[in-house]
Amino acid sequence: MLGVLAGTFFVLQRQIESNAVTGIKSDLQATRQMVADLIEERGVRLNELGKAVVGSELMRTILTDATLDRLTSDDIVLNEIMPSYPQLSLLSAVDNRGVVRACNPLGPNIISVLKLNERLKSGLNGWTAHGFFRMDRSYHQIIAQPLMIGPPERREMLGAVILGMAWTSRDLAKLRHLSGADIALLADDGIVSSAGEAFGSPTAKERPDILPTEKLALIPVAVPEMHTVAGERYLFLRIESRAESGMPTFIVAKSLDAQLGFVNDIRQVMLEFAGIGVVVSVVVSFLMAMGIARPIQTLTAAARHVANDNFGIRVVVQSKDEFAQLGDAFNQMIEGLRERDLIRSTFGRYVDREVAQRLLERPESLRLGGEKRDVVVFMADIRGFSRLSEQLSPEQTVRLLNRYFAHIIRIIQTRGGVVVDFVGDGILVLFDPLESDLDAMAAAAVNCAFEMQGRLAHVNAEMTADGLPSIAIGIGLNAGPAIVGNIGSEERAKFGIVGAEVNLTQRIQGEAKPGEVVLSATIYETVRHMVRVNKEFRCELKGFRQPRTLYAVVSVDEETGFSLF
Amino acid sequence: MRIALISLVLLLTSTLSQASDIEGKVIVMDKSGQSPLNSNAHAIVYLEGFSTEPTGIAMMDQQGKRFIPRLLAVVSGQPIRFSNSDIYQHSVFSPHAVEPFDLSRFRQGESRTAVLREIGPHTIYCNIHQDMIADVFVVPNRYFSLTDDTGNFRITDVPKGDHRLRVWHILGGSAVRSLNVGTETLSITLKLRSRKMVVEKPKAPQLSPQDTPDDYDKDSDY
Repeated sequence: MLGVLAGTFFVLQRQIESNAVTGIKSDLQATRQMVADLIEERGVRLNELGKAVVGSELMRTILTDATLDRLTSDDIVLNEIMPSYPQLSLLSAVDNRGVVRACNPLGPNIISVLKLNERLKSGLNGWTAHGFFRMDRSYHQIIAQPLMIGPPERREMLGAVILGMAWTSRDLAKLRHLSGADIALLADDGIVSSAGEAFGSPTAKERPDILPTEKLALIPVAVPEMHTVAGERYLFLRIESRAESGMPTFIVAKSLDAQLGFVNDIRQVMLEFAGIGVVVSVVVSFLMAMGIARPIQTLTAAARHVANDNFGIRVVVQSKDEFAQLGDAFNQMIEGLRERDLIRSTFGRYVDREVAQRLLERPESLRLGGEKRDVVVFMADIRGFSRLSEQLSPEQTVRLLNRYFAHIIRIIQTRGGVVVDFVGDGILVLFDPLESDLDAMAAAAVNCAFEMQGRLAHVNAEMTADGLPSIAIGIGLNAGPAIVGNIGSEERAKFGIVGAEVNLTQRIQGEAKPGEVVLSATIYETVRHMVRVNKEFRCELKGFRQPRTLYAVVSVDEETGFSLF
Repeated sequence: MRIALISLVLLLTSTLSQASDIEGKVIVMDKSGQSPLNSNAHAIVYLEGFSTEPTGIAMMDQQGKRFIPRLLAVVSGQPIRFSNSDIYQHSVFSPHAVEPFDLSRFRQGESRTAVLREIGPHTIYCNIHQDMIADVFVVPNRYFSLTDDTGNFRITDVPKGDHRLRVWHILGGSAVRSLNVGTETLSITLKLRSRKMVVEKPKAPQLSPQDTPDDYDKDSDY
């Protein structure tokens, strides 16, 4: 927008400048005409004054009376005649032999002036002649008018009367006032007198800013020429002089920059408007950006809260635009997430979080039915819990169990196990090699068992501090094929594992003494490198025909009770 | 008485010696010397070197704000009567360097008399009318002549012998010529160059015999 305005202003400025130049050229031509008219008008005036002076008896007396001395004649000119003609700067009488009979004291050696001026010289030959001559810092426009006597058919010349009017700085100032153009009278040795800044101050001796005389003398007569004076652009025009009459060169000039002053004012106003526009644009942009950024910041902050499982937050967008719609959609999303989280957290308390997560992530797994695959089955049980519980109140029992399960479930989850079921004080855990092989899951399960046994000392310390009795657990592990899936009806179902290996695991766990971790042969073979066998024994297990070899193991790092892995 | 006797003797001598005339023509050129004036009148031709007694009174009238004649020749000492035939008042004065005079104003019908002795031109003016000018030329003797428009002059009964003849024109032109006057009429032509500028009216067209004034009237339509 500003660019368009600036461009428009630039084009307008060029157009205005062009028009101003044309106007100034026209003004300068008019000024030239004015100068010419004034010269002619002064010529006419001098002619009239000349006729009046020539008709004076005193002037005839000066020219005819041989008895009059020069002093008296000069006195007549200065004190008797000139007071009647205050416009005159020069009055002189020359007889027909070329002898000056009288002259006002301000006049120069008029004869030498006349001799230098071809046109004025003819004034001594019976014809009226016009011309100029220079005296100090002013020019004089003069006329030489013959004084004739006799009847009309034969007018005899007694002599000539020379009259002059000065072209002073004041005259130039008046011309400047009338025409609006600066003006100067130029001689070979420089400016004689001037009016206007284009030619500097007439009183200043040093005028380095103005154009030198040689440049002024070359200024064209027909078309104005542009020059810069003191940082200001002027158009100059020379008025053709008539050298034979001694007429000086007139130079007229007019300032283009002064003419374009109003454009500069407009430019200033436009710059101010542009500045205000920029400020307003910035403010409006800032406000608009804030209008956009604020809802985004609100949504971003809400998203962070949601990422931190804070679903209680609500987004409030105070507008009626798309951001409000986005805020509503965001709120709906948070509501959905909140419900999902509620389901997940609630579900996770009753089923393993891993299972719940899996069910939520893979909805197809919700379908009833299972899959038979090799898994690691893990069972732990508090030894002597029935007898122990009889000694405890129900609250203590529940508190004891909760404390115990809180510890071991965390370990199970850390090790990648899935709590499938609780059976009283016992717990059934599945290590399902969905994303890893069975060996890795077996190792994880064994390590889980070792960690649980190791953690028990810490749990018992807490129990003791809480006024609860110490406990000991037995853990049994087995690996083998089992059916993993959803078991139940459409209305109610549960995730579970079934199969002979599950039952076998239960029996193995039953063989574990307090503090022992007992492995089936299947899993032992898998993890033997990481365990030390405390006891290898063969026993018959209920529900299984063949006796089984079992291994009571400890971690190779028995001291700590923690796995090396 | 003695002067009158000498004059009588000279007159008788010249008569007895068969005095002759001097005739001729004076051509007056303008100040530039390039063109003759329209009129060769107003030049006086006279002999220098001896004097004769003046006789009679010379007359200068003022008519139509002009001195008439433009050039009046008087013998030194001859009374000059200035009369006024105009209805206006006139004055007569001369700013002559040696013998100026001023006759102040006088009315129509009145006259003033002046006597001039200084040989040469005495330009006279009227104080009232700026354009009025005339010259009174004082000559030493009666042997003089004024030229007519064509410049012709004749001095009669000039005694035999060597003479110096001078010519003077109102525009300042002058010339001197030495002559030996014998028994025959002497004919000379003199050419003068004016010292003053003059602006003359163009000559009136000369009617040829076959022209009639009507023809000029027709021409004037142009």
